[in-house]
Amino acid sequence: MKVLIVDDSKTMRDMIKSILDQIESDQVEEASDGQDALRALSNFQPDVVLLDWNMPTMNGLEFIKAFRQISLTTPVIMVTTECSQAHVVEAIKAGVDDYIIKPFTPALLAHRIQEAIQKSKAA
Amino acid sequence: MDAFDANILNEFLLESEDLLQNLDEALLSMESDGAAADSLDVAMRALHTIKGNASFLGLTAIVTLAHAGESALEAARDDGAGLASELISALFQASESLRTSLARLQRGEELQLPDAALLDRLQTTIASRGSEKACASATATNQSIEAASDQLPDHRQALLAAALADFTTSLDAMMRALQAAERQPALCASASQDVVEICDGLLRTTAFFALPLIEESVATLKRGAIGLAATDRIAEYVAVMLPMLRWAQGQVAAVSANQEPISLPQPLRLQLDELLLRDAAAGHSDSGPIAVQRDQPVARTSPSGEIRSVRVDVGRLESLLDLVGELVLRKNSFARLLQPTGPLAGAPGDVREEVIRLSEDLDRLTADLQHATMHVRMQPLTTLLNRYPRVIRDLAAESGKEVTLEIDGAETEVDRSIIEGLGESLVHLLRNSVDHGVESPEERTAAGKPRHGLIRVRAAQSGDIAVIQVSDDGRGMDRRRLIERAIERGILNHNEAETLSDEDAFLLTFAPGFSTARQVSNISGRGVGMDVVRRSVERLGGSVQIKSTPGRGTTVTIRAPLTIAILNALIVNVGDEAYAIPLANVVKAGRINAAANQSSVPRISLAELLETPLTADHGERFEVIVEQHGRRAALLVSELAGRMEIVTKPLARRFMAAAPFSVSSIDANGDVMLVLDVARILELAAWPVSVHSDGKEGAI
Repeated sequence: MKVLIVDDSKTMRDMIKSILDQIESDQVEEASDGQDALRALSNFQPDVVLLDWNMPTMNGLEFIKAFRQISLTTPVIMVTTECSQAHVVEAIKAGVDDYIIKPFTPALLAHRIQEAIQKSKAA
Repeated sequence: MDAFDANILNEFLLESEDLLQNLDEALLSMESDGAAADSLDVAMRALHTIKGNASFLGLTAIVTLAHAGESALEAARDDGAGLASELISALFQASESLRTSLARLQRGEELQLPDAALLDRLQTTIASRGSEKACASATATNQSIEAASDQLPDHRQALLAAALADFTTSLDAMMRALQAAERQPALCASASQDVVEICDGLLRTTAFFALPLIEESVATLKRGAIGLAATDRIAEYVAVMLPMLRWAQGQVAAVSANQEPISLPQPLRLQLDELLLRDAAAGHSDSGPIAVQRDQPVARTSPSGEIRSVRVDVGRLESLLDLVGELVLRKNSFARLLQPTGPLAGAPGDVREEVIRLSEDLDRLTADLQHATMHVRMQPLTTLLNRYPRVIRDLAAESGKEVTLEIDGAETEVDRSIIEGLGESLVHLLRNSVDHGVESPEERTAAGKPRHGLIRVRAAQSGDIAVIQVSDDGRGMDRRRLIERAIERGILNHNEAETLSDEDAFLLTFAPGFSTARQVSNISGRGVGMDVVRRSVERLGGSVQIKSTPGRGTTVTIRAPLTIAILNALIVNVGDEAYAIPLANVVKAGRINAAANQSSVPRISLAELLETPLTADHGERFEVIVEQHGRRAALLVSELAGRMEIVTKPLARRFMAAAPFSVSSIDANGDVMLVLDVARILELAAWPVSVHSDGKEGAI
């Protein structure tokens, strides 16, 4: 499974990577904002994208809009904090498939990723 | 915190220092220049990031304070009133307090809960805000990593509430856009676009929360909005769409109140469909596909309005095709009236002339009609090829290879039966390319090739033929291994092997039961082998060709007719039975020439092969030389009954497996006639049956 982590915080990327290490994921790429992510996509085709929302340069909303021009089906999971429902609704409207609230356990992340991939395959 | 190693904690400390620095700078700049949006964003992001990271590390004290700071900034941003100096100083204090916490962490000391007075100062600024934000501190601060695993139900409920609130806002916005369009027709196009965009967003939300009835209403509104872009009956559209909007608002309210929503009333939808169809028929609408109810013909227009199309139920199309087929057959029997043995053989000259004239007219008209009907059945290959990027991606992922897929000529149109018949074969060829053609990234790098293998699918039309090529830049086929394998399998003997051309060697892969894959892989070892590819292509009246250069790659070329439903055939009699041989396979036909007995073309007695008894009057007097794949044979028949255009129908699958027929046709008398599958006959004649019966189907 290939995962693209888009987050401006290196600590967060490292923590997510360390969580991904505990579940089945053989390839992880990281990007520090939306533009960086779009660049990474030119030679990396992820099975799932874990997307932070609040980032400099190109935020999650701008990224998902651009990304959905490239890929309609690759699942994107928004990584968010509690009580940002308005952001999550905005994200879903823009094409995010699911969201996960920080902090999360490896089991929960694995479950969400599986679910998102299956849903996108079914569609 | 023990879920992560010490490096991550260090990383967190360093990054947080930087972020607090950003926060301080942003606060300073806001203090002097007011709340510039940029600075506000920087400050909020800094606290947001610290909060999120700390939550993973279980640092409740930091989460609480960062959250309070972020909420205060958010409230200030939403109020748009700028930051009060009181708030700025509270935020500076928060920043300092966070630094202290970081320092304690670094020294390995326990964190102290944030100063309650400071939290109060921050929270007073958000006291005026709604309940949505206020939920934060209570849940967030007490969350540990363990507790987070069952975080959902409450949050989802809150999220649904937020989504429903957003629905109400969005529906209001749509209503305003429609009313504006009604007042000012010039705004119609932009209003339509706005409504379509809003609908697209809402459709994603309804799918996410599984709200099918609201989804249906929004989808209907979207269709209306598309129609609105190009109508001159704006008022009529608005008159239908406003009640729909109100209905949708009622549905949202019902869900908010935990009640079942009620489906959009049918009359409203029908009214809209009627408008859409009327506009489409009048050529007004030029704004993209309009999907009306599934079972009725649908008007469709392209964005330019130049190509308009009607989507028709496949069943109706098939019955139209059957009728055209019947007509073609009647036309054939018309011509037969004038034959020496026909009923009009002795008719007066003027009658004969009139019949000939009518017959010619009928010929021309049926040919045109047939051509037109055939084209109705044609579809662009896009429908097939669009699936492949995903297939390739999955296959490459499965085999650990890196592959780029290029598709060219997807707009080539072929009959839908060809599309259906080719699907599996093309997937198999792609599988072969990924599995056996393209090398692993390491192997490719070592061979001086780019890491990414390139697989190209190219389609083009050449006369009446569709040419589809699947090529890769992989390792190519190994002639020596192919030959070894063929000898091993008893397909080839050593003498034959020595004189075999490259092209013939590649063709070996088409022999039933041939496979050189050292081990059956998960990818290509799933049933269909190259022999099946060849058979299914030939069943469509097509052919397959392979070219390969070791180290450079392999190209498989499929040639298939654009349409297959009508076949030009030579009709022959064997004993009392009539069979059709596709004219495309016929090289020549004539009396059996005794002198040609020595020719190298093998003779096949159809009477024997098909177990049709010969009669005294109908011995084997004629031969038809047929060719497929460069191989020829002479088929012995009793009589040549002439050339005919026949309408073909696929045979039942079980029948096809047993006998060398590809399709059946109904002749002018309504009798079923079988069309000989020349490829199969040549195969039966050339390969011993034992090769067939091993039951294995291999890949290249």
